[in-house]
Amino acid sequence: MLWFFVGFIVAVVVLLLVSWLKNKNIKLVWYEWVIGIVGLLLILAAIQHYAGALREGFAKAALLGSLSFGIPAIVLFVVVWQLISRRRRAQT
Amino acid sequence: MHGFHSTVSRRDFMKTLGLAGAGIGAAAATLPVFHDLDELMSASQAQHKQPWFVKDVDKPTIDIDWSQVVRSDKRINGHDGIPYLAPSGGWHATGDRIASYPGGDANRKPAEDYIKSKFPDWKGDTLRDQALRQTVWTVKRTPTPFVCSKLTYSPEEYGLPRYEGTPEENYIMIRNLLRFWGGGKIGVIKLDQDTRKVFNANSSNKDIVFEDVDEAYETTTKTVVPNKNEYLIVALFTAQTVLGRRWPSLQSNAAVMGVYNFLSWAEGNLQEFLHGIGYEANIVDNITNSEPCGLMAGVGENVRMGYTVVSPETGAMARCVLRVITDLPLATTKPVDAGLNRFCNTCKICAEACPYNAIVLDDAPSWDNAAIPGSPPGFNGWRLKAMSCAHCGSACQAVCPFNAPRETWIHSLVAPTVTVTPVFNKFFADMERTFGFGMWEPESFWTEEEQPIFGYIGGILGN
Repeated sequence: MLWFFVGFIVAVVVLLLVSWLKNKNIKLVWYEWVIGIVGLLLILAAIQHYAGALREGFAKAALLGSLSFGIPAIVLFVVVWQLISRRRRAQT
Repeated sequence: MHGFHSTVSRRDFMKTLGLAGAGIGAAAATLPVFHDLDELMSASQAQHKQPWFVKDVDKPTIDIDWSQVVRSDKRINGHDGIPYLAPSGGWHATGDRIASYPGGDANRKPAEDYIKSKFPDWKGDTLRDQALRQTVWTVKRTPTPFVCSKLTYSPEEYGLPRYEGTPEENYIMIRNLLRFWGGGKIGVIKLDQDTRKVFNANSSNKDIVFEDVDEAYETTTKTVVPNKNEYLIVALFTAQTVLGRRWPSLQSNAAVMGVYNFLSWAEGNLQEFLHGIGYEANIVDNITNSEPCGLMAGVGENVRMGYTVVSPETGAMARCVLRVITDLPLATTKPVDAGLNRFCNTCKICAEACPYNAIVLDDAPSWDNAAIPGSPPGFNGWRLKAMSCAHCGSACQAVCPFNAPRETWIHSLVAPTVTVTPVFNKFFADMERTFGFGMWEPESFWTEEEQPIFGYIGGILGN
């Protein structure tokens, strides 16, 4: 059930993001897609680790593991955002 | 308008429906529906499959020099051919806690101090912990006689010939039965001159001897093992995880003896079943040493804890080892290599946990048994300092990294990696410590809202 909701939320977020990028006429360079997808995979890894470690009975491991994967994911998203915004600023 | 609602024509639809129906019919015909024992034993889908990364190997992951191995004598040695520090018994209440000292079991104090070091809020075992521990003795254990009690009818009594199958079919039959009775990983050894050394020389003040006789028997001075019963069936029985992970608290001792009850039930059933199909079986738990049986049958590996068979499927939660010999011809199994023994070189988590310092902190296993009193000779493996072990029940087993039921993707990645290369072993062990895996807080057993049935967490049974 968890993965049904995760899949649903990811699909909605990706759809909204792509639609927003189109509306704003923003085009991503290939490596920005790669960084973004790696970030998304890390987020999914963090969620799986959190849920799995709780099932294994280790709350501390759940928290530490999800932070270990989640923080790099957020850093990657920030990197993509900065790459896009700096490129657009340079264009205007 | 023809294709407005669908691009599939009626003819194509009917054709597809026919194909689908045929497919479903074929699938139904091949699904395993057991109508009798013959079908159960030949059901390939019922076979236990070990994880892909566990390799069958010709020799165990430790070197054994059988010429040096001697049959142990239980008049001199205790459990598994080794002497150990038995708890002195006796309990003493302090306030609402069952304190084991002063006035009680002084051997218990290091175990209690160990739990308090991990969980400072834990104040000690309580009355209900002790009551739970004692419940395992309230049900009389199923008798597990060496010589079969013959409670089932034999084929002769029905006027039928005994059951005959190929060794492979027989192995699958036994494996399916033992899984049905709660067994974990199951293996078979064909006894020879070397592997007969897993039998004690003497147990319960009786000499254990092999003879060319039709049936096993016992006298007041000897236990006679028939040479014809040359197949040794070995199966792991796993402790109930929810308490096993709380070793060495008093409550968790219920998991130690609880699984022995399952074992007794299973081996008694197996012995009687084999009699029922026309073969002889002898339960040899009490006259053999468990670890070499487990290694040779490939149900696990020798690990730093020593005298504990750790399996790649169930980790160190595998608490006891079923051992039954029979004259039913069986396909044999090989030892396994899952990198466990090698992982122990760098891990040392169990040794750090042991409240009694009974586990060596060396960097590699050793041939040297003289350095550890009571340790048997003949193998280059990990040895327990058995004279120091208090059988606390067991702090070492609760913290073994291989207990992870692989619910997290990272654990699913670690297990095969350990098998392939030892390069990351130290890193994995350090992460185990940092992430706080290991023992569970004992008191929480009483407050968790839902427990898994029979206390087994999914996956730990190796399914």
